[in-house]
Amino acid sequence: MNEIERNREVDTAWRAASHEEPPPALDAAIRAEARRAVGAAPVRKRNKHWWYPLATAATVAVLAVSIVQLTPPEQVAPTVVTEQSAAPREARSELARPSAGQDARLAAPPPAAPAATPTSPVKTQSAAKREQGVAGGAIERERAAAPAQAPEALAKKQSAEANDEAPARAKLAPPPPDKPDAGPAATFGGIRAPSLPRSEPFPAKPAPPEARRDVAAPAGAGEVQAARRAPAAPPVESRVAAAKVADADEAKAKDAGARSVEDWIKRIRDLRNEGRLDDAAKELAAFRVAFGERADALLPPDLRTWTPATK
Amino acid sequence: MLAYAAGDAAAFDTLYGRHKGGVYRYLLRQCRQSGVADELFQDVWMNLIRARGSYAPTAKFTTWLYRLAHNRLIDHYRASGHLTLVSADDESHEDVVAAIPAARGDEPQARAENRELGERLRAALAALPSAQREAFLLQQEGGLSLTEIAELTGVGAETVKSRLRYALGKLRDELSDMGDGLREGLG
Repeated sequence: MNEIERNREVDTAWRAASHEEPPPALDAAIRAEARRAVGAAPVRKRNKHWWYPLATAATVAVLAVSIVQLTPPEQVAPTVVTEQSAAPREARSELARPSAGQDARLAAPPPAAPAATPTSPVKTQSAAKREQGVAGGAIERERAAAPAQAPEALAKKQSAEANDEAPARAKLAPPPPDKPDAGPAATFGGIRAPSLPRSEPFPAKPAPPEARRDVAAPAGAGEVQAARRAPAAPPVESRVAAAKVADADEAKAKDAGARSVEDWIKRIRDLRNEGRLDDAAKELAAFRVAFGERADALLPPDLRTWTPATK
Repeated sequence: MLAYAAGDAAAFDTLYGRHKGGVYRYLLRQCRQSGVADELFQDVWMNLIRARGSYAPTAKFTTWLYRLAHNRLIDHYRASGHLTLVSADDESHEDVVAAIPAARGDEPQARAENRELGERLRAALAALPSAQREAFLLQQEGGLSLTEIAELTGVGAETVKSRLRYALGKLRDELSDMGDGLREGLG
């Protein structure tokens, strides 16, 4: 028997004789300390699919955000605009009333924005901007476009038929110059409803600077324009003259405001038929002055080319 | 060990289950008292747990583990100032001897022979010089190679080889005194 075999005998004998193990309590203490050291809980199986609910929630959130971002604001706007356009109409009817309480009305803030605010279920940024436009700069912008559009306000106020004529007028009326959100003009299916002035009855002429400031000041968004006007306070004489002009305008407005386009045309025809050609010509001239370029479009063909000489 | 250092407690359970017996027997044979062995054993593993962050896999984990055990044992020697001899009537050894598998079944004669073999081997090991005993235990219980034992104990490989040769020779002599029947019983 060589040395290797004898060594193997010793190995075997030793393994057979040596089987001591640490006490179980010591095992448990050491294992517990090891777990405590790494901050792990006692042996516990982890759910392999714990992340499924988190992944689902994250996916839903991402999809929702994506849809909101991809949705064009125009699809949301009509709801808001409808409510907004309803509010300015109320404001218009109030403002176009005969001038008994005009001063008070001009001093009051335009009710368009507050009326739309609590009822809007969905508000986008564009809607908010539109509200600002209605509340603030819209009055100024409308005033700029007023000479062409003011008679429509008159027609709106006096006759319910004006609503039926609105689409036709929209076609006839020139679109507002590159300002899609100027004023309460509502867009439905690509048809733009006419922008109607709210602050003045027909004929729309520049109001006194004080009145303008009163209208623009509470709107907030028109503060820049109001501030631009504020420092240029006219002298007393010019203010008196302006007041006179304003009174005259108001009288005209009262006179004109009492009639709709149809009434006006009817009166011209009546005068013509009665043989009062001069009066008819005056009325016609006044009509043309009031409606400007749009007068021909509003006049019937027989009056469009009529002059006192032609009868 | 790297997995445990990274926070995987289950990795520690695997390591512990694999090495606890060898480390415990190494300490028990060296200090020869089960109570002291328990204390040293616990200290070794606690040191391992504390040092998990500084563990670098430059050598086998087994070498690192037995180095911790060796160092703790040296500390114990220094603290006690002398080596203790195992007593013949140590009850813990009675249990160990009784656990030796009987190749010839549960025959009373075979069990008695196995118990005698175990006692004589342990007595022979206890009689060895400490360095020879340590080299033998590191090889048998830790499964370390000559080089690893030399590195761990801080001596040359030839020295380790010499120590092992002496230790095995004495144990062989002890075994040769026993009859052929006992060798067959170990099978």
